[in-house]
Amino acid sequence: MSLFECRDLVKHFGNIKALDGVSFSIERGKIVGLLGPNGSGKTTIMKIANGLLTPTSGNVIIDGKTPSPSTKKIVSYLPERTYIPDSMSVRQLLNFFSDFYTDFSRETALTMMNSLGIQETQEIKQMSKGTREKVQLIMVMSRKALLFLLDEPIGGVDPATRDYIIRTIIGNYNKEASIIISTHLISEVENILDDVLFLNQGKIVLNASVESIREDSGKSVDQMFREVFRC
Amino acid sequence: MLGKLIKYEFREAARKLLPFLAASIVFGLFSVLFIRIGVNAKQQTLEYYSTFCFGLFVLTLLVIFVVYIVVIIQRFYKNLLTDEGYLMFTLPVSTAELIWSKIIVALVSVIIVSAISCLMVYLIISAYELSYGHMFEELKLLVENINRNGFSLIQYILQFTFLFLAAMLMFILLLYTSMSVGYSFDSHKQLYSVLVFFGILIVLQLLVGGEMTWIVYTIPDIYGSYQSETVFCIYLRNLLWLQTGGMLVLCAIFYFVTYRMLSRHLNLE
Repeated sequence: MSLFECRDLVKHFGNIKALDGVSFSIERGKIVGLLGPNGSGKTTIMKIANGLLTPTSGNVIIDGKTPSPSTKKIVSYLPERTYIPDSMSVRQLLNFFSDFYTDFSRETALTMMNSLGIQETQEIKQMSKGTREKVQLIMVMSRKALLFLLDEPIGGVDPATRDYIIRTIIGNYNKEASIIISTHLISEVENILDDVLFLNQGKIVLNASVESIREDSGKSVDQMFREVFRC
Repeated sequence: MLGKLIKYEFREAARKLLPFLAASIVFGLFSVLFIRIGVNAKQQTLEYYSTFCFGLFVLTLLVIFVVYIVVIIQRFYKNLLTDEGYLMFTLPVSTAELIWSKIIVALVSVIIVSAISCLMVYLIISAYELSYGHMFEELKLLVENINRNGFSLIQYILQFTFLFLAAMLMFILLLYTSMSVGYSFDSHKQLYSVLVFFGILIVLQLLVGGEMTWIVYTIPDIYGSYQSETVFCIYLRNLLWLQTGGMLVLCAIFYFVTYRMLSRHLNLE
């Protein structure tokens, strides 16, 4: 049984068709890139998988179940937005995650925070935007989840921070788990991906392994992306 | 999980409400102190201070009321309908638990604030009673009158308490419904929330207005047709229960709409 599966997923926002019959599946232990230009439907898939949107038709199946509180126990989600409450301190945030997620590792989170010089007593509202994003990433990656859904984890940050984020993703995820990274910065993540899904105007246009793309076409994923999505 | 949500919700609400509650207790106690000392010592200055503190006490009660509404609104929309919603709706809890945690904390907060306010008012009145010696006589007469008709004061207090709680619950759920409908739109979310709130309020006012008109016109006929004051009191009591029941029906409707909007039409961006 696949860990994550989309079955004929359709989502309309009024007259706009954000997803048009998307179907794919992801096995355990894979790092998959969900790649596409802005507005292709990547975030919509992530939101439906997390129960933040209801599909018009079709469904998402995670470990045999549709999105619900039981799938949320095994899914760790990093949205594009910064969602950590600014009324909390780092310690309160750690307590919050420990309270609600049984798979959250406080020690892992503290180790990563300390390496960035972030103290437990620090208030979230005192942090810069970049630091909040790092804290958010640390909280998400400190869970021993089965499925990580990372929506544009490296967009809008400087190159040094991008390297840190990618190192954190690779260094902390459970090798039995799967990661879906949605991004349009292909070259930065290409080397860590096993498979890629190209999404354009709500449809899957390519579903292949990174290795097969390189062998069959002689091109990198980034070059293939530029070719497929040439304006 | 509901218990954990309630714990965090209480912490956030207490952070904003407790300072004002503490201030009202302080001003209330100072009022009591100045009343007892000032009136007994027949010193005008102390009587002035007691009036001043009582004024501050009343002012803080009004402020608490406003702060309470702001906290209720803010906790719902900021925690569930803005970016924090990405955190809350991806927790391993149901939408119903998220809504109920806020309802429970909002209701318990109003009970605590009301209870403390009533206690402070009682202490202030008691201080005057001990000082002037006649205010409670009127209250004693009222209680005797109620008991003469075969009812107990406790029954009336309970009935009005239920009515008050039902009204508060309805108000809280009306706010939640307005915000969850308003924030389902892509733009002008706050404007739509306000429009929905006042729209529902106007409809409720029309319903209540019709009901009150019926009561006002029928009471003289009903009173005239009843043989005793006791039976008329029973009629009034039943009317109060009807009001409470009506409000609870509206609460159920508002809850259903809020739940539906948050579980099916959540629009965080």
